[in-house]
Amino acid sequence: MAIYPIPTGRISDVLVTRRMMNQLQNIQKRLMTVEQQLSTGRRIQLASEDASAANRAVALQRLLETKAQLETNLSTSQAFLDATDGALSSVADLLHNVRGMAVRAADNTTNQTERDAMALEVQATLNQLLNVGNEQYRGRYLFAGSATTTRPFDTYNNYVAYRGNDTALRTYADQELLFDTNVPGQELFGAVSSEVEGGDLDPMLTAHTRLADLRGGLGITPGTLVISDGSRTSKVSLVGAETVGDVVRRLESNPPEGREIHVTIGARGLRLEMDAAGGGYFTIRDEQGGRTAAQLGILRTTGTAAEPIEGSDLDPVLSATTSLDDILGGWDQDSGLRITNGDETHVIDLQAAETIQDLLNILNSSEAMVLAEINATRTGISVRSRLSGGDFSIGENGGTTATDLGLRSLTHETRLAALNHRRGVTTVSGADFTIRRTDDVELAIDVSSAQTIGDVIDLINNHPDNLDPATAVTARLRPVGNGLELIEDHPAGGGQLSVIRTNFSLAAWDLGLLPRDTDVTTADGTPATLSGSDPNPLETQGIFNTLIRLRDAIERFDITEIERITQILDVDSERLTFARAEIGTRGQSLEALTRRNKDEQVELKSALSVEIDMDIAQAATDYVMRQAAYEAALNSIANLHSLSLLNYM
Amino acid sequence: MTLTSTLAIAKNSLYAAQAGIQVAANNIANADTPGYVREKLVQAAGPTQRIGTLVTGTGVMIKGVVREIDEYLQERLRAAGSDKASGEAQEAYFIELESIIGELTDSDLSTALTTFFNRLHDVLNQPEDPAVRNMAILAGDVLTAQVRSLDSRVRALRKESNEQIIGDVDNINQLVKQIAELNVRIVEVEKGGYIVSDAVGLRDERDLALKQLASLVNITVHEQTNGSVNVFVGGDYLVFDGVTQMVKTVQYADRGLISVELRLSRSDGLLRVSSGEIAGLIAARDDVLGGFLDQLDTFVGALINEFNKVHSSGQGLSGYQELLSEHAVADIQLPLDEAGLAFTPVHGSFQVEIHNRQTGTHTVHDIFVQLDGLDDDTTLASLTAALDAIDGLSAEVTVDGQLRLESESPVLEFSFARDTSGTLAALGINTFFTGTKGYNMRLHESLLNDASKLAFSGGGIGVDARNGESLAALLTTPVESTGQVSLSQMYERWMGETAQASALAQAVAEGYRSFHSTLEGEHLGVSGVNLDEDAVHIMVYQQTFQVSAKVISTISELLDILTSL
Repeated sequence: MAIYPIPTGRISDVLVTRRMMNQLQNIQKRLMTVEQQLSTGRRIQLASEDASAANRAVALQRLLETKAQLETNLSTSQAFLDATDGALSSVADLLHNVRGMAVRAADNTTNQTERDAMALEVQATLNQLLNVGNEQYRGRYLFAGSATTTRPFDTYNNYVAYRGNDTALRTYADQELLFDTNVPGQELFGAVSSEVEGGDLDPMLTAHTRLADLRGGLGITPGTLVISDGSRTSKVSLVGAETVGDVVRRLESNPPEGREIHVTIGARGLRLEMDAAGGGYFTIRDEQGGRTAAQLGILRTTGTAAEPIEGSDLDPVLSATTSLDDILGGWDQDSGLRITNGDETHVIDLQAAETIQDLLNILNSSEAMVLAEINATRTGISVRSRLSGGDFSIGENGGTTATDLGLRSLTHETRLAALNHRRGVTTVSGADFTIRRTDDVELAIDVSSAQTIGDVIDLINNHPDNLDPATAVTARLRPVGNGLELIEDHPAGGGQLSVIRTNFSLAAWDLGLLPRDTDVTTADGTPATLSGSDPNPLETQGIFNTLIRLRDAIERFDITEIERITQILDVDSERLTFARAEIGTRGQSLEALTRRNKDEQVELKSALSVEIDMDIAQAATDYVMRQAAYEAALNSIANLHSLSLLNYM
Repeated sequence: MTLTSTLAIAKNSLYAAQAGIQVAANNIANADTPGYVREKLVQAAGPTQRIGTLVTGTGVMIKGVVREIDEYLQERLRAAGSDKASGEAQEAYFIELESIIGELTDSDLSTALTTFFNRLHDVLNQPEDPAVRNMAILAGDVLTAQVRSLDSRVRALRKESNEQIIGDVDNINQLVKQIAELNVRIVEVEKGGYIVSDAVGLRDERDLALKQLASLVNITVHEQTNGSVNVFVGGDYLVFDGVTQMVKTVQYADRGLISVELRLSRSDGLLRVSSGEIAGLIAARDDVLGGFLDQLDTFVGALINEFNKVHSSGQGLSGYQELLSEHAVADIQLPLDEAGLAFTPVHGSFQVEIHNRQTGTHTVHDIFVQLDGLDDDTTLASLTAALDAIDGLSAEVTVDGQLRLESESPVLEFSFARDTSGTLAALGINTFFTGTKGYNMRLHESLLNDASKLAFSGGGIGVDARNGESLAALLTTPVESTGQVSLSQMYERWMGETAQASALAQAVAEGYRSFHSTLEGEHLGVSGVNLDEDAVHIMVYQQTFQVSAKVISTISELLDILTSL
């Protein structure tokens, strides 16, 4: 409120009148302000009345609205987690019952009828679990990962297929705090197998390789390089460069004055040359504490001549668009691979693929029910089975495709202990089996010392009696499919090639060389070939796999298998318990976050109130004061200002 | 020194007393007249007369009636009046602007923004629910409507200020004419300054007109010896004796408004306005409201572009079968960062995915956007060629310079990902918002027609909600193009500046009001009527009259003695 000073010198009547009017106006205005504050409850109506408070109020208001939304996020997440937990609560009991059945089924005293009944019960439990897996809540399939409108579990022939993914659904529990709101069926039910570990595909560096894909995926921090030829320097900024090609172009167009730089993209690194004619010392360093040149492997701070700089290995990783021509320095793309999954074998033709994505596409859209992706370290691809309950393996199709890509499930390095679902190979002391060649020479093979498939192959091929190429039998991996193969490829022909079980050893059965429960197998023909079965089928470790195999094992009365399954059941139960515990923990976190959120909302409301709300006591006092001032002004105007000299003349 | 001469002296005295009472009565009658300057009777002793060795006076002489006024104070008062009018004009428009913004209410832009982003959170919570998706899109539509409404209301206010300027110019011209006429009459009445008296009523009128003119525009006034005033604005005259120069308005376009600038009618030069209501209105129109619109456009541009950059790198629940880019380039052979696009792309790349709905497979293709200033930067022509080369996609540039994409078969659909160059947002492909500024910000039609096009997924069509996570958090995410400031901070800064400027304008106006009142008080001190003073004057003149009358009657008696001899 402005105060108008009284002028020194004369007072005129107009001035007096005007000041009276001003006073009344002012007081009335102030009264009206207080009335408005009282009726709206707000201290300020327009932001300019208190600009800094208004600014804070706007920020507080936004924060309050955000917190309210976060509260909704938390309660929705809680609802879904509760539904998930509810769905899982019945599973523990089901598994417990099944375990009991498995123990009874392994009992020799049961008869076929009883066993048939048990198998049916297992099937019923399987169906119930399928229902749990396909449970929906508010239109979302709870266990499908982020594919929330796709039914995750389907029966496929005799097996269970998983059609969801393992992507987490997340929502904001607080600003910048993302919170998982789902439990993908993949890890909970064990719906997808562990990967066939793809080998390193060794992608080559190209002009299109993104800088972000270098150094094993760590990328390159952008910066400026300083290039020198000993007397002149130039600066090259790599900020904003996206690909290796960008780096090359920028380096080549900014050489030190009068010089030329030529950059070649090698298989794994860059090579920089300066024109020889100019002489000098060729150096590259980073500007001011940068790391770009070092990361690109072209850092050279002292030069002794104008020699080229050979950059170090940039370790590029795979991306979906990496061209297949740029991996491995050449591989067998023509033969294809064979994937056996469930009871079906599929031949996968990869000839049409041009990029990694194409390769993954062909695998994923094939009927082999696999999940192919770039692996976690982005050095290769991993292939996993989506099918539960069946055997899964990847083999060759007459060439080396599977091995080149690192996808073959049976290789020289496969450990014997891992074969047969980790039952391994049981040997006896002494020879485990005997190979009788077509020339009737017998080779006694003792595989007790072998650790890997390769060792077994070597034991056969390097047997002292088997060293003459004219008569030798060759052990190798089957060129088509998987398994060991013995082949005698002599032009002479005639005679039979056999494998004979020796010393009651199980090794030949375990290696797949002999069908189970047989003692001899023979082959004749030219060449004479004995092809073994795949001793290393993989399985998807999970509840469905467990139950399907249990059911089949009960029907077959395969006690060994039943016992194996019983142990796996414990693993499945544990996995489930972990999951429920994790859900419980998450629920607790949500509760804590919700409590905190509510507290924060209260604090924010109170802070907001401090900024813009009217203090009622203050307002009421102001009102009374101003009313008194108004009365006093009116009084003085009425009584004092009506007098003048003319009254007395 | 005769009786007759004494009679004459007494008669003069009566005249003087009558005149004095008349002047006092005039003052008393006009005590409340606004702009009235009190009059004073100037009397002087009559010229001395010498008869022989006797030197006597010749009574009282009325020299004239003058106004009690301090011209220097008037000048300062006029200047203060100009400043006050200027300050109050800006203050008024600021307050109106603030009530349009409605910052502390629930219907302001801030609430619309938060509501929109909150609906995006809802989609994150339930990505499978199409109704929730729809709500998010509708909330976006409401946001754009609110932006457009704010824009149009501020524009309307701006138009109003412009109309007010035009109205004020008419007033200026009228006042100028009035002053010139008064000049002529005052000179006539005052006989060009040869008489002492002031042309009392006329000068008051002229002063009032000058005061009104000063409140419209900053003037300097020079009074000449003949009594007429010359009025200048800057260095240009508006009134010179009886000659006038009018002010005219000349139209020009500024930020979507047919604005006017003020020029002098004879010299055609720009009127150098620095104070007065017109100055305030011009500042309100161009700096306050025009500046606000500029800031609105900057904020809206950033919101549109940043949101679109994230959105265009994502995929919805379904892909596109055909798409037309929103923005066109003038010359398809120019590099994209020089092609005149409202949002400028930078060096980078993006991916196009072709999805086969029958087989479920998809292929990914890199499109590199080369804009590093070295040879062959990407143009719209080269971009189109690169897109066309993708198997399953056909691309062409329309005659209007827009990019059209179409899938080559009904089972194929396409989507986009990972745009590090901002090209998709710049061209308006797979975007959420359309438009570039406050007046044309809208939602993309394809979203209003099909909620599945909301690009929440980051890993492929309908795969996950990763892109949605970035979208939902965008309001508070630091953005590179604005110097690591988030959109909400940008908004708060803008609103804070406006509020501060408004508070400042109000404080300044209050200061001017206070100063003006102070000077007015002083002016009234000099020129205002004080009834008591004039009452005293009347008393004195009454006495003088009485005594002079007595002198006359005494001389009359003396003359009677002479005639009765």
